[in-house]
Amino acid sequence: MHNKTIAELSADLRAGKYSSVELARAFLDRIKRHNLQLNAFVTVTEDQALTDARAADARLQAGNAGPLTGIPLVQKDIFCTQGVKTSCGSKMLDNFIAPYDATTVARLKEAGTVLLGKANMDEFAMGSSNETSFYGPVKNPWDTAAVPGGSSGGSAAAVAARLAPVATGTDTGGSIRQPAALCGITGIKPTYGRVSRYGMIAFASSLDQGGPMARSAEDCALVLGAMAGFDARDSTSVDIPVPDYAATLTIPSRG
Amino acid sequence: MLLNKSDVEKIAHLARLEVTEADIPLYANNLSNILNLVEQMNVIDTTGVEPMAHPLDASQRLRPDIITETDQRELFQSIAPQVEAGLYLVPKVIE
Repeated sequence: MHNKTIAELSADLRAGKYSSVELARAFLDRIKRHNLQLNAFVTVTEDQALTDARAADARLQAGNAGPLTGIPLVQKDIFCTQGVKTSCGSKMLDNFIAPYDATTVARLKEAGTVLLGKANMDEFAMGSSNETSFYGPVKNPWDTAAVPGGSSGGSAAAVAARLAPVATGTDTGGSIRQPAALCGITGIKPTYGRVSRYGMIAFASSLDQGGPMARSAEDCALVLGAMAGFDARDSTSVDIPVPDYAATLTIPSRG
Repeated sequence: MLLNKSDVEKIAHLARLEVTEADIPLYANNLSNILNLVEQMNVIDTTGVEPMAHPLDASQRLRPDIITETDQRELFQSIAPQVEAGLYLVPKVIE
């Protein structure tokens, strides 16, 4: 299960090969077995994951599921998640339970995704090795003596170790792209203004962008499609239509 | 620009990184490649090229001057370790 693409998982869920609850449990089980070694998670939201998964199963049953319904994911701990600790990798926010959802979190929730937990990161995103987190360093799944990169190191390690099909990250000066490269996965820093910064703890507001981190361009395209879009609560959000990213995958990248 | 062994040793020392003797040629080569790329970019004539402020030509959006947020003090204070009469209580820091 854990080696399938999002499109494959989505098709399997629709076909009823397994339920969203079973899928969530499979990933939660992998997290239990491997996270101690990798330290990719600050918080594992098991109860929330199962609640989300049951809701996703109901949507699948009712026939109003989208392409991400029932897909488990990890949110970088920089995104505010209502009722869930949002530490930003810092001791200062160790007791901060966010009172609201970031726009990105809300959008992915509406799409029916299942929250597995919050990913470890460099403290306040200020680092490129994930060694500065209050919750300890994240290890690179390919070689635990190596760093996973940062600041979205927990997100990258979680996806690379197949502890989640997809994770969110944020990039100010390479914080999605560099850990994605170091962990051998795919990450996108979207064009500034595409993804709402509302509820995303700021590092440098005129450069910060949230984006997806997954195993392939296809997986990233599907998730970015759900994350992107105009948000009146972000003063630099751009009000232009979001293209169908998944549909553009077959266009050669040469201009 | 080519970096030699002593350049790498100096950079490693400044960054407080331990680099083994055997890895020095590798680092010298990689770091030189980065500097060469910068030199390559410096060759390009950029006179008359307008700097790009935003790839989507976005400008600052203004919103109507009306109240959009409501009072959520109770919600926000519900996670505070200590509050009194609507105020946050914090440890005394100035004697």
